[in-house]
Amino acid sequence: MNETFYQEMRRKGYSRRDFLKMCGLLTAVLGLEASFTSRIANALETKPRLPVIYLSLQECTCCAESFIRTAHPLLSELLFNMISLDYMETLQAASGLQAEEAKMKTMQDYKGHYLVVVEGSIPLNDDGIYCTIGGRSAKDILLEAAQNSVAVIAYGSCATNTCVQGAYPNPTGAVPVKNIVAHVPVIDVPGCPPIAEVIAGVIAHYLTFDRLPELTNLGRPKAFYNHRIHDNCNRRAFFDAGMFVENFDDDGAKQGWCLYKVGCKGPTTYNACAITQWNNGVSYPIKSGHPCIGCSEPGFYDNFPMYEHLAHVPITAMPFEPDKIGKWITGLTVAGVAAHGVATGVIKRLDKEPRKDEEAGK
Amino acid sequence: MAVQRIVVDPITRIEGHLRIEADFDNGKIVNAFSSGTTFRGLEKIMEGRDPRDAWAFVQRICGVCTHIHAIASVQAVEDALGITIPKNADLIRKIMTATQFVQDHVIHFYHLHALDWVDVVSALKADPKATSTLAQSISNYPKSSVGYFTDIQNTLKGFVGSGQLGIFANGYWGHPAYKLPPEANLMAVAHYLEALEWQKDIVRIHTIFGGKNPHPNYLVGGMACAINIDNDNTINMERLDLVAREINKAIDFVNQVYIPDLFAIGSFYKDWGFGGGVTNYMSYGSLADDKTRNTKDAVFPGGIILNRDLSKVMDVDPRDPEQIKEVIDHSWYDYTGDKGGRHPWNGETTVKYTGPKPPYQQLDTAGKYSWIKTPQWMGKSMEVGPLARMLVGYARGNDVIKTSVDGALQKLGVGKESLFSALGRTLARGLETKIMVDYLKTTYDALLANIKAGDSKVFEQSKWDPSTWPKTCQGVGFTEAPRGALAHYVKIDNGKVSLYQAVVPTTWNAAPEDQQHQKGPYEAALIGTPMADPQKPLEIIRIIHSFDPCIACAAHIIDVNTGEPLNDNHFFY
Amino acid sequence: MLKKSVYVWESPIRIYHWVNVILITVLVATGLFIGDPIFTRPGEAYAVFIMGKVRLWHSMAAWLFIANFIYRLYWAFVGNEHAQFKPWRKGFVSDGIESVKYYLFLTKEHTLHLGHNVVAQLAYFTVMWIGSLFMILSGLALQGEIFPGGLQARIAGWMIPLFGGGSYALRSYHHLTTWIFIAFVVVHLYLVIRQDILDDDATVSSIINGHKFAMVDGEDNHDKH
Repeated sequence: MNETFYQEMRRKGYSRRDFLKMCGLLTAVLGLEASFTSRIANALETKPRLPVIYLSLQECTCCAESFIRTAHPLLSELLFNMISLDYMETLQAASGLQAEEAKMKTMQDYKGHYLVVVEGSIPLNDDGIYCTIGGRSAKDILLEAAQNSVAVIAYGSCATNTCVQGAYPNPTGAVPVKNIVAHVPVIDVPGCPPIAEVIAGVIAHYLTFDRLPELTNLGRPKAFYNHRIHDNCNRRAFFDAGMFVENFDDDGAKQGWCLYKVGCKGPTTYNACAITQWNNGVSYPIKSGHPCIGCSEPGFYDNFPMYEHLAHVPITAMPFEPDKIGKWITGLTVAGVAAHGVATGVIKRLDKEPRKDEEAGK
Repeated sequence: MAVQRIVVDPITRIEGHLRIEADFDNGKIVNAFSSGTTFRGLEKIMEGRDPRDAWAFVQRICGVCTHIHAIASVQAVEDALGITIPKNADLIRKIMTATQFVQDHVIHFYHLHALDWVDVVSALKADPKATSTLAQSISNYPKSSVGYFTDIQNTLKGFVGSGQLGIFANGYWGHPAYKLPPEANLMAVAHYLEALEWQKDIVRIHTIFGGKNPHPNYLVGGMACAINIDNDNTINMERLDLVAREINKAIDFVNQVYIPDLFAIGSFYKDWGFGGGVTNYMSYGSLADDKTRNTKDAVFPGGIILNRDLSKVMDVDPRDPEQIKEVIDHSWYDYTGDKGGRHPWNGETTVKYTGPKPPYQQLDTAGKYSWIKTPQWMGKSMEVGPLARMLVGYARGNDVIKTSVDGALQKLGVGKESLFSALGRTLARGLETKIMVDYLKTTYDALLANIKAGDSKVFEQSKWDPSTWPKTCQGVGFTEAPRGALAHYVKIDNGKVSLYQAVVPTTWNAAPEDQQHQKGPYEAALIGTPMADPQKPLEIIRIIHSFDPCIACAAHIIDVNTGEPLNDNHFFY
Repeated sequence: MLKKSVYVWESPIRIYHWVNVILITVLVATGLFIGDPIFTRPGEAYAVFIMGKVRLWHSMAAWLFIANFIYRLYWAFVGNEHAQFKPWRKGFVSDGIESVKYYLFLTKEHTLHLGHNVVAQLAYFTVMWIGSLFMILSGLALQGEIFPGGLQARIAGWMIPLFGGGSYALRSYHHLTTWIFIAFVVVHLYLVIRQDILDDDATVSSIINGHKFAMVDGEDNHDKH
């Protein structure tokens, strides 16, 4: 990571004396008592906290809401001891110009050493008019912030797969972060929203082990997205046993049986819900009786209806049921075969008759 | 001095992307324009979907109001299909609604709004001993020792001393509009952190019943969380105990921290009476009795107040095409034919962006300037939200609300006219939170009593299957969101959504002006406000924050007109 | 018109065929059940393991299916001419047109082929080779979901993003292809029985004993294959 402020000063030829003098000045500027000088000197001699720029683009703020719910580490620990959240519209004190200045300062002072967290997708249609901040398009803002960052975390389904606004017909031309950011690593942390401890965990992982987490083949941290919900589901035994909820609130539901037949997407959804669980381990959708809606998977809105297992025809929102189509295919085949069989019989008969005539003529 | 245009974009500590442009002259704001700068076009996406899925789409309108849009949606679909939900489901939904009010209001007060009133850097100069004395004089909250405040102050000192101010960087510290003494500031900062830690716990009530928060799960016809007190995988005593525990913690937190802080901080600012704005207030009413469904005597009564006249309340009907209309004179949309106002039922939303191409410096506020429409009641701009609810409840003679408001005014030593201000909104939000924590407890008790009586039903099965539905039908789900009046409208044809619309609180409050230059509530509230330094917009964000803006909600209301063909330059907002 | 008995289907081909019959039957039945478990069993979860067993059978049958597939692939190189598919050979296209004409009743007799005619060859190539390969790879990818980083995931994990990212879409196409196999079986049975009746060439029994009857009068058709 970045060298400390003190190291930088020494490298530039200043003495320790100059450094302490500067600390005294800084104390006065900040309006603090003289006793603060040593504290400031100490801070400037140690490593800076990881600067983080949190961008909110085309989103619903559920990710930010989830972020502040983290129980381990607590958000206050994260903010005071681990990271320096230099820009986050939802929480920061400054507005307007002052907010933008804070962001610019971090991008300059910590060039190549700050982390960008992005919540929201990037609407590209019509020159980006569908999401502007400070008069600038989401794409411009993202590209600028990502340029000198150490990595970009695409946080939440909007940023990883455009979530609801990207569902057919995607009217604003929303695209995920990885379509825009090319030259720095992008880590996908999907979910609508992701679990609080997951996003905090990804940041803490980077801080603690000094490297980006290993990713799955879909570009998500293995530490949280390695397994499907189905593989760790508390109702899995009932799936294997073939004991299913047929209707909500039926006897099976009152026994807590498997929700597979009411459309559960757990078997195709990679997330930590069943292990980490939500809101400090209290529950997760399946445990609370509702099927998983698959919110961390690309295009999950187009895999609805929610309470059935229907696939969709690509690039539309038209659902189809493989079994239904399959039955049609088979039905048509049987009909075709029958027709062909009848035709064969008829033609053979017609063929034979003139032959008889020929024989008779001989 | 010539009129100066101040642009504040982004307005931070809100949900979504809001831009304020204000004209500053002679030390005061003389005109203001509110612009929502995002649009997601969810409406087009809703077409042809299963109405039972609708809640999951529209819930994602907003992750802050994560519960209430889903509730309005399932209510609209149930209204259309004629479903009456079981009592348990009704009680659970009410518990979840009250939970959201409490959590949302506390977050708003401490994390979104407080820094407009509290100077964090000033807290460094506080005397922990005096702070402890102050804290103990206003509340019996256990965390109020000298040691506690010393620790908090030391943490803060270390933080400021590091030179990396994080979320507090570039704040308006030292601004003359800050009036609190250092001790009050330190106490507020301590409670900022306490609230941060507490708010993550109360939402566990949503997690128990809905599986997660944000964005818990719902079900048309009831709730999916089966109740079986003799099973380990359903709602049983342990689950209910966790709910009870969180409710009790919430009651303590609101009574011991939030309300005392509100009055302590409020008493220093009671002379700052700016930010009144429009003089009309509206509430649809919510949390009505599940049998009578009468919103007039609900926990939050519905009604309209005009010209701040609390002696008269008019009835409001979201279904009435004459009462509620949306105009688009200054919004980036177009109507074919008649350009006048339209009721959501026959609303149309064709995008017509006339604003500058990004990047831009300034909007053309003489023309269209926002993605937000202008909804009106009988041609008038209406403020919605906690203040509107408390005023309507007060005027309706609701005992709980009347006692609460009168008590608060007396305690602060101010008259009713003080309510019509930024601070009035903030006060109303607190009073409402207190009402909601008490309501949480009584509703929880009602749920337990109902389960004890042998009722464990949470879902009405009879109209689940689309074959039982009418060929065409329509419904409305209206309620009160933490930020104000909310209505979702749905039309169902052949088992699919053919029209979906929502008119949400922030659309009412953040609306741009209409053709007659009748200002929206944000705009009206800013006009006349003095500013100490036009470069530091503390006064502007203070007033805007008092409304608790939620722009994601406002700027992509689900308005769909399926009669229109889809083509490249034709969107619905 | 004389007929002579010709050894067409070597025993490895016949074994492959009948093993496949059994495996596809098991795979289709278990696969459909996994997709829609039509009956559920009350009782204690520890006492029953229906889905688990059905999935186990599906998985075991699938591994055997893969083995059988590879075995057949090997035989395509070392077996007799009827075990091979050579679309590049001379006359393939014109034979194909003749075959299509025959099935559309445009010509009365088809140029007799001991093995498969060109239409049949193409059908087998599409369904039994490409189709099976898709089912194998998608099946491995889906099973690989249980073992991230495991053998199946490494072999076929790339299938998942290929089908729009989530495994949901891949699963749906795995399902749909099952029905294509079912439809194929219908056509297959019809055509072999029809062939047997029309030309009386022992097509049906040939898959048991390997022998078909071929006409020996007139010019020899063998060269055309």
